[in-house]
Amino acid sequence: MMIDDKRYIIQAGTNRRNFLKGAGVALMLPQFASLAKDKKEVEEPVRMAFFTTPNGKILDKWRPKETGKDYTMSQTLKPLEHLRDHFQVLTGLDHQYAYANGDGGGDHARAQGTFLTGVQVLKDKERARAGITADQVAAKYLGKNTYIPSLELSSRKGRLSGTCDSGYSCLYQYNFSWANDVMPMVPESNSQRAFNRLFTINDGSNTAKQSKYLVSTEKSILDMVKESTSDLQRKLGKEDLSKLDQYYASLRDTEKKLNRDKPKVHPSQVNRDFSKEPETFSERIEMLMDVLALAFEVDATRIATMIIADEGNNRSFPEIGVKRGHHEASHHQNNPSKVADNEKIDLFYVNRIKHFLNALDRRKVNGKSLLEQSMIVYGSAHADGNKHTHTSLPILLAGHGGGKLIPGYHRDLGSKPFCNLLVRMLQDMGCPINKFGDSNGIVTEV
Amino acid sequence: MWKIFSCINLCFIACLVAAPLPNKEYFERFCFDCHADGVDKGGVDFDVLLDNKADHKNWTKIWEVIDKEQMPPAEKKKQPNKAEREKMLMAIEASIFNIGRKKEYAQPLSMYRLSKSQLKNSLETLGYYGNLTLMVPTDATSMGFNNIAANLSVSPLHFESYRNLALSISREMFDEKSNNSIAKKWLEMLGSASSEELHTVLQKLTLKAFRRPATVKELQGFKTVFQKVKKETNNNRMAFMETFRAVIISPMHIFRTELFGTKNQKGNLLELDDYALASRLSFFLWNSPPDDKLLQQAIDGTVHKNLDQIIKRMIASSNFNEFVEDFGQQWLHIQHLESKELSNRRRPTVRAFKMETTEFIKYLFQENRPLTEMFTSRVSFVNKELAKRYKLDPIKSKGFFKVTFPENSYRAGILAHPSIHYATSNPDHTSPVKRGLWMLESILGMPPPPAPANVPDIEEAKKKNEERKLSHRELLALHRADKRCASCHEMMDPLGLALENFSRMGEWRDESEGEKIELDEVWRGQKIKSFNDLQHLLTTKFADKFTKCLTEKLMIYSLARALDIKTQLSVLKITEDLNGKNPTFQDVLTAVIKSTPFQYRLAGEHDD
Repeated sequence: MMIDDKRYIIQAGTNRRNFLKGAGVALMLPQFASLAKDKKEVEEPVRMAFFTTPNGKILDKWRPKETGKDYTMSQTLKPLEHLRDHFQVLTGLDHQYAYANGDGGGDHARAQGTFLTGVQVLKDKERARAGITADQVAAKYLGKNTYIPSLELSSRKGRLSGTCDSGYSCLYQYNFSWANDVMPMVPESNSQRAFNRLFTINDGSNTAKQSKYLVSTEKSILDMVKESTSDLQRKLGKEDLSKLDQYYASLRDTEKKLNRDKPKVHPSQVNRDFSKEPETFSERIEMLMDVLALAFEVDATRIATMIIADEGNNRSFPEIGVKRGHHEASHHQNNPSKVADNEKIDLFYVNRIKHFLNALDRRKVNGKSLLEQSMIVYGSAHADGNKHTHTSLPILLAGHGGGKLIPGYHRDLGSKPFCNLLVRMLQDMGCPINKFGDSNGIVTEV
Repeated sequence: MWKIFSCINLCFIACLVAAPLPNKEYFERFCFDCHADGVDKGGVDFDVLLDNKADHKNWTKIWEVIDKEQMPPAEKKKQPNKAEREKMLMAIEASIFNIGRKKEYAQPLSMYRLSKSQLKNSLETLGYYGNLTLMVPTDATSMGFNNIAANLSVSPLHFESYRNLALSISREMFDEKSNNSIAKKWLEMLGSASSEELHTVLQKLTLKAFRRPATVKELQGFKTVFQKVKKETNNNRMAFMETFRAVIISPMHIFRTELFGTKNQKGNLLELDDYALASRLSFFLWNSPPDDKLLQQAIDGTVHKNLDQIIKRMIASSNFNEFVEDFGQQWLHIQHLESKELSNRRRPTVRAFKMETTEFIKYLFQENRPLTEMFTSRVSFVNKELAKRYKLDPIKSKGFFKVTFPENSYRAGILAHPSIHYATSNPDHTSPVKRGLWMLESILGMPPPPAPANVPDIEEAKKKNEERKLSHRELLALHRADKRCASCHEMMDPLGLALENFSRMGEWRDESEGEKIELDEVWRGQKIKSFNDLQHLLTTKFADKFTKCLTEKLMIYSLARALDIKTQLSVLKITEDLNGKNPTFQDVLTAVIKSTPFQYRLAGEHDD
């Protein structure tokens, strides 16, 4: 059922040093790697983020009619007109592994599972098996440079009741980023908690440093914890051992962080009260985005993923007068009223990414806008939600990637794996990667 | 002699390969039309599978669809009777899996991370009563439950949150100005921190936190932390505070394991020792670690011996609320009901719906009611607002009160609960399909197979019939007429339509969208002409299905894993024993607890 597994399975619970062993990730020749590294030293680092929204799009309202530079902005993308020189619309990127390929229904779980992994995720009611996501590949190369290697966000605060999409584990819809095939990077859904995790406020007063006592105590506690489970390790099976490995990997991360100071932000950089409970869905999304923009600004992390809403999500939108659930509406079968609801929802989500892109555009680092220093993907592995298609996906690539990208175009790339774009982005970030997921080349046109 | 032996041996191998499936004629009669002789619907082809008995994945699928009556599809006239189904199942069990109904099975050793609510409850037994909602990430569900071991991963966000939690809890509890009475008790026990006192307090603390005695090595580790901090601060309280923090964050607290067994073994099955059994019981019935009394029984080695008494005490305890809130609400898909409601004004009502059902389930278990009362009981639990909605005598006080609806009221049993009607509706209208699906999943234990990719929608059927306006029921009927949709919708729709008299908010209605609601449904050969008919069927002809469904859900939840075929045999055995005996809720619960998969685990090579 699964095609040529070897290409993309990463061993469960791999340690950091070996994480690429057997992965769907192929290393470039060493000289390329070192070239990339030398170049990076002198430049302002590039930030990378991936956003996903569910249930496909109304494609003829999303896709501009013309390609090239002077295309007319489409109805759904209108809100981004003022930023047209800062992003590109990409047509012709596919995700073949979002299709059933013998696994039956469950396109939503599958689409979210494959978007950044490029693998056919396991269909099983109990277990999840995905693969490393592109952001985590980047985090493993570049994460050591920042306070946290990567930031994962999601607007969903509650969880789904009952069962998930057609016999798939719920983990595919809760998570967007995966450290390896078994370990999802669980996203943060509360903006205040995300803020507290990343920053301390520096208002000029003498902020207490992590006391020496606390750090040394913490270290002895962690040492103690590490030594205490030998008996357990002897008896556990492979799968449970990997869970224990995850625990220790996280523990080591925490230890490393103890040696760094939390990034400081000045009150003037904080544009809103994060302790306030958001009143609307759009506010919830934008608050999380504001934390991310701030994290990029103070270089707390350079890599992020955000579930603006999860695949299959069936919320209604009182803010814009859509009473139907989104998922229900997305199976519109050309019913005009359902199509109209979808158009409104597509527009609603584009307005959210506009908020984020505006925030990056406004913020400056070393004289450049953050948007110039970023590579932002907005899209999903779902093209037409009505028919569950996964080719020619609706993808926006925003930002200039520190000069490596050429925005301002609508580009039709024909029919290529989406993973070819991921390879390109990883290389631009400075990762020595020339193969990822089901990639069969690299997107050079962007 | 040797020659005969090898000859037998050869034959044995040859026979194994070519051994025909016993009772093959039943498969020929009920399956081969669509799954053999060149037809391989759904990718299932007996011509291939009969030669490939090692394909356990597909054979498991076949066993399950026969057991759950998903196959043959409901619209097929030729249906096996119960005995014929059994014969097909047992043929697969014996010939493919080499297992049998008379043998007993259990699962291998597993490691369970505490779920968010279990962690909260564990911290309460240690003296911390704070709210964890914002401090710890939410767990994912699988098979409807959020305690499934395979899904309880540990990502960096988890570890960070545990660390921060331990830091803030230890400070809050052991601050000089803290009034935490339990923290004070720990400090009293510590006294002047002589090596004996330190040993005793750490022994007690770790016993509670790890749900078993700590090993000498583990205790030594915590003593080292204590001494180190004491040396730096010269303060017993602070040293204990940090040691407490270490206990909370250690894997022995965060993960539950069942390392040791008793001497009582059945073949390769290891009976859980008293500590492990006490933990299984308390995480099952209380979603919490064992309390002091249960731990003491584990120390005394009397948990196995006093099982019946223990179960009685645990069900009667107020901790049993945790079971109904965790198991009960998830089983019925109502745990997050109020988060579905976008209007602030309506949210308290929706919450009251959920509480009504929760209290009802608690009543059924605690008062040990027969399973049939799930669908017939006139008892319910209402607060001020629900009393008004149901036009009962006004209630003035806060809280939920037991009421009994009159005989002629349509409010009887769970299917009249608004929580269910609300949970199974779309944001702006009822959904017979979702309701039918819920009935199959939560009540009858026969979920339909997942929808095939790209099924034509109801709207497609509508387009073909634009000449006249069709009711939703007629549309569903059209949809069912499409062969690709029939096998699932024949199962779902009649059950869901039988609940159409209830609006999204659970009010009785005779009309929907201006059309009179008239029920004329057939489900598995049984006529359903009213809501009453449905209730009646569930307590008579289909009562056994509910028994099996509940047993299965309890088994999944208590073992925190998906049930393989071996464990499903235990479910079948329990159900067989109970069928026809008008079983009660406690009968089922007790049977699950006493089953081999609950009491034993598979021995591994490192078990001495």
